[in-house]
Amino acid sequence: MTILRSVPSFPSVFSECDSVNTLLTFATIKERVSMAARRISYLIVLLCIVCYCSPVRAELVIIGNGATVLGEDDIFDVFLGGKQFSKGIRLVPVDNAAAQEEFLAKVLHLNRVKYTTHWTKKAFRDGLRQPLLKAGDAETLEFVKRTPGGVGYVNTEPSGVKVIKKY
Amino acid sequence: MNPELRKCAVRFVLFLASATVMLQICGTGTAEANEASHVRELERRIEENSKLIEKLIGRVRDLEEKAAGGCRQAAPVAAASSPQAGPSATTGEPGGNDLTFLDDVTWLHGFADVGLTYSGQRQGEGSKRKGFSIGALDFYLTPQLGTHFKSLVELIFEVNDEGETAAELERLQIGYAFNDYLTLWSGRYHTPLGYWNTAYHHGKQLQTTIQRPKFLNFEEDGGVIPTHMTGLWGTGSTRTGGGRLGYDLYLANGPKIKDSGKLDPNPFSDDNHDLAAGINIGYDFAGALDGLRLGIHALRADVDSYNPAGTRISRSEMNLFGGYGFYNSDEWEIIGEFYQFLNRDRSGGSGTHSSSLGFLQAGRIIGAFTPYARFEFSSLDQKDNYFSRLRDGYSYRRGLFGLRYDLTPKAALKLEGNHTRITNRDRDDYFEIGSQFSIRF
Repeated sequence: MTILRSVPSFPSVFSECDSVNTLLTFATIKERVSMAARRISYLIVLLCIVCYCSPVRAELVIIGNGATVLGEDDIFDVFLGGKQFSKGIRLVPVDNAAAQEEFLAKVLHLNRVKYTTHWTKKAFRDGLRQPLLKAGDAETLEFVKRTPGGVGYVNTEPSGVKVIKKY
Repeated sequence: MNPELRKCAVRFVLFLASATVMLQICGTGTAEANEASHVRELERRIEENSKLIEKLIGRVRDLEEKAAGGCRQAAPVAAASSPQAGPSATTGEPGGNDLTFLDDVTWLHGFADVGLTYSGQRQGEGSKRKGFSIGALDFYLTPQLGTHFKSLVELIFEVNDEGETAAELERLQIGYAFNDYLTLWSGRYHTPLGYWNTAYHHGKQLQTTIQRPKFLNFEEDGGVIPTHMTGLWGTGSTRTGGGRLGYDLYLANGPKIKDSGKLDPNPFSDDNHDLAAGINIGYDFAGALDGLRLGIHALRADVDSYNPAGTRISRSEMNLFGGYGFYNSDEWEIIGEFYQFLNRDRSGGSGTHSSSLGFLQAGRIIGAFTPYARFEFSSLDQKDNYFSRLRDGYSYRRGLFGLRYDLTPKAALKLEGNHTRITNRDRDDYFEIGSQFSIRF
């Protein structure tokens, strides 16, 4: 009992042990210890699941308006002005300031300066416009939801839009 | 104490200890790994929320002020309060009738530059030019008129040799985009020849060097290739073989040669009612050759030249074809263009004349610095009416070198020198040095 009492750092699990009297049989203690061990295991698994599902671990999700038909390979062209239409609908790419750096690096393999210069040339030669810039996931999601042909990217799991690809 | 019980208790304590360690590893390990990014994420969200709150406060204030004034209704207020359409904006239709996304982008852009020049040229316009100068102020606008209609307008203000400011409608294009494969433009546009003319044109901040290749100068500056056209221009592209294949096809008023010896792109009417026709096909490579574009181009036009009385004195069938290449990576920018003329004399009996022009330019990108060099040449047959009537239709060689420093992504400082040798007609041999501060906005 002395040993058991010397482990007070898990009160939620072992507080019951404090009331164990000396008449407890070895089998009863063993059973309780086993139960406590199981609870700890569950706790560990639960913690792991919580950590894994935490939004901090969110991936980059390319999203499109429900009416937008796009393949995974089209994303590059859409955000560099090479593809402007899909099934007769004009595509409207939108940048997300909060995730732009990650998007440029992962998807377009460009930095911000090269991306902007590319669009300046595109605008100057072809009269196209650089994608709109939204502040964060919420604004991007809202824009894509309400704009036919809208295509964007977010860091959180979106709802109400089409997921084109995850990175 | 029962030894079995003690043994069990010891095992249990060991288990607890290991569980504690696991918890620490799992919990704090993950937390430590993600703590920094978690904090950043929270800071970002707080910042976003602060901005949102500020925006909402501003919007409420606007609404309150306007409600108090009682002079406006809620709908226009909502539309005017923010350049970005709110969630209550119209829900677009798949047909593309919702144009709210067109409203909130800055569509006015431009270029400007100032410089310092010294020229040792002994003859012609710009000879012995020295001192400070302003270059050009170029505005271009890209108003979108609908999901398929678009336009491109470019207006430029320049100071001429007399020191007078002149305005010119550089481009006026109205287009209809049928799909990715065809956009049809009508109006005045930059001739889709080679890479340089359409990619840079008046965008001096975009081009690495201060000067264009001499033979690609604008018509009013003595260029020998038509750099502007007025007519129809079809353009499009498609992805093929991993890369992208693009094309330009155009029909336009052919140019004429004025009595001043300069090309006139005929933006108002075609003097000889003989349309010019041209094509440009380019392929952008992908994969290992990403950044490389190769292309071919051709142009045919009947070009008449006139005396001061306005009487036609010659007609040349201009047949121009050639190729170009452009390579851009993190370290290098390389451009090369080649033009071959096979002009036929249609007013005399001098036959067909061959002339060629070209340049090769390379720049090494080292951080914000780009040292560069270019060699350009033109070998023009002086028996060809087309070149003999042009003021600057002579042959030359030019070697050019310089250094560009990008102060910001939108501002560049350049220092450049060149040596030019004119090899026929009025022979000349001279150096020029110059510097330029150019911006884009």
